[in-house]
Amino acid sequence: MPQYYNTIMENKIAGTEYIEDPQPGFSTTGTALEMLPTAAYTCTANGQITFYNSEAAQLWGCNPIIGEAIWCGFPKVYNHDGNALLQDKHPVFLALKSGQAVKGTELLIEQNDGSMQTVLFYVKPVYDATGITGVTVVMIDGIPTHKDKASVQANHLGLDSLSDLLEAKVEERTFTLKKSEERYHKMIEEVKDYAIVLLDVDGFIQNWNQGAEKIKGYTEEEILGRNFRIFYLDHDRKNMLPERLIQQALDTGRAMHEGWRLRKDGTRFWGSIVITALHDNENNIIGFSKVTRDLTERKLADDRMANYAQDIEFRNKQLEEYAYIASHDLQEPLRKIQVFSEMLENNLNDPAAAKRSLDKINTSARRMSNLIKDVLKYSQLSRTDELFTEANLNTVLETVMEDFDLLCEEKNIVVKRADLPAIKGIPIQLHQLFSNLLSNAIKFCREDNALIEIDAKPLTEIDPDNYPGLYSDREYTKITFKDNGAGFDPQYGEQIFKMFKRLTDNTGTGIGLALCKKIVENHHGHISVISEEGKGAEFTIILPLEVV
Amino acid sequence: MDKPTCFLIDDDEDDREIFALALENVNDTYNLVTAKNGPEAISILTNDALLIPDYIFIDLNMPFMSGSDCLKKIKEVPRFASTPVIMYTTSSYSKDAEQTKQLGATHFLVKPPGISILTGVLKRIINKEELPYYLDEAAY
Repeated sequence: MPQYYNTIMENKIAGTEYIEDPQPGFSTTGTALEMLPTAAYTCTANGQITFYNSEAAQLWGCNPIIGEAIWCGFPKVYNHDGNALLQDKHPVFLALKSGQAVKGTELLIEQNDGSMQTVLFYVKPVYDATGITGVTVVMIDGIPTHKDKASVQANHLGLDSLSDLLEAKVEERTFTLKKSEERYHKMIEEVKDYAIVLLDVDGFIQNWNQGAEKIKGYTEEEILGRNFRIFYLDHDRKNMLPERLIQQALDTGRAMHEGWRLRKDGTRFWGSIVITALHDNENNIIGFSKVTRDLTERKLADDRMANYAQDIEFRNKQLEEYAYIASHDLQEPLRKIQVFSEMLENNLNDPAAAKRSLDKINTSARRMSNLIKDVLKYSQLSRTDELFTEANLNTVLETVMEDFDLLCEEKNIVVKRADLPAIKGIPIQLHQLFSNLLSNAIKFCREDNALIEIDAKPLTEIDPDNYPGLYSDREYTKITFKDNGAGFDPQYGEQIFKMFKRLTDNTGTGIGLALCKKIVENHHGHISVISEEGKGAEFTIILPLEVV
Repeated sequence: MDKPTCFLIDDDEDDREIFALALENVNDTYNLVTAKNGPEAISILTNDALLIPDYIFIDLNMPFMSGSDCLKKIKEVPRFASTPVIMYTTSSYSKDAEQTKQLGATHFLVKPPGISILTGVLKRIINKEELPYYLDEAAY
């Protein structure tokens, strides 16, 4: 492929103005040929004559019509040996057909007056982007059969000056294109705020600018030839995100996406990308341009805003909950104290009835006291980074189990537990969490063969769709508390984590599991439960190993 | 004619006892049927075609099924469409009162702090006195 073809394609790629195919310089060449002291003409790829000089007309002995006459102006042409020349052996035909220059083919021509002349043919093909567009023909006549060498040499000089001129023209045009290409490359190259990358059809990096180096950390030498997948996080690569983006650009012309990307040093940045398909003249896709902006700052600011909004919403909900507690849950024991006091007053003469009323009053007062304590505990659960420290969950669980040892023995409950990992967490809250879950399991255990199993497994692949709020690329531990006790109807699954939602009698304050949920949320984890009536319950807690 | 019947749905055992005592004080010929939660109440009401209570009292805050949901379910049964249903609750939350009014409750009765007061209110309800929808200490 001729050199400048690439240049044209690349200019189109860049989206700059399309540079016209260089036309064979007929007019310029024409002027040059006119001045030549020897016969010369040009014709198209089809052989139609587009120009000839007066020397040519004189040699032919006629003035062919431009655009109509074809390449051979002589009615009769012979080989040097005197045989008639077949048309397909004519140097002009050969040059048009092969695209190769013909230099100095010697032929005999018969002129109008019947005289014979020896003529040397020089034919040079002319190209553009689509291929051969025509030829320039120079005919040197006046050559005697014995060949006057000096004369031939003189004519050669004329031809040389023509080809020099043509070469100079080509050079000038090439230089202009090269300059324009260089300017364009500089422009892309020196953009620092955007990574502008050229990809081939398979996503391999062909071109790299300063912005790309600044954002992604790789130098040009390191990255050329690598696939752009390298910038994507593990799970995005597993989910074929880069391939899907390329496919989208193939299908629709472009693809846009925002997400976390990897720098060379393994740190992340929030990239906003546009991949645009690039086409050649025949509309075939020849690669993609990929422009990336680093929007990490904006993303972090957005996230902070979202967190504040979430926090405010959470606090509002909490206020509402407290209002509800004041209006309902704290009033209930208070009202009962009032009712049973009235009954006590009426039954002062009946010691048994009076005792019963007193017991009721005491129970209500105790319940009220517990409620107030639990509400306080719940409101004091805070999440500040200073509270996070290394928490060995084995130690936490052991301390919790010590509190329940007696109860488990009494109720004949077997507790099986696996090895738990160490995480970054708030030990006092984790203690509360395990304690609530264990006491819940004990409370609803069955009378014989009661079993509580505590298990832990590492969780590396998180589907954020199933666990909103968790990150797909963090390491988590999945801890399960499974009992074979009463269980509950699965339709109440989510309700049990709400404040004061009790599925059973009114022992307990209805805050325990709400507390668990809040603790898990403080640790940026996830809690869920599966159960079936009579078949026990299994609580699953997912906690990150490191502070999120 | 059958004895008049009250149907009470309340998860709190003490409150069931208190209600029974107050109703006895109003009229000891009254028949009281109770259920511990919504699903149990619906099951009793739909399985016993002969049970058509004169009044239904529903506690608002119950496990398994909220009082409002229970009210909704009862109102869906044609033979209870015109039965007076009284929400009977500790909560004095105005949002709950508004919601249950929309659902067709006759009164929203905040549980009083004494059997004698409850007796008085029940008497006025059963005597079909003109009473406001929202019945709290200001209206007892």
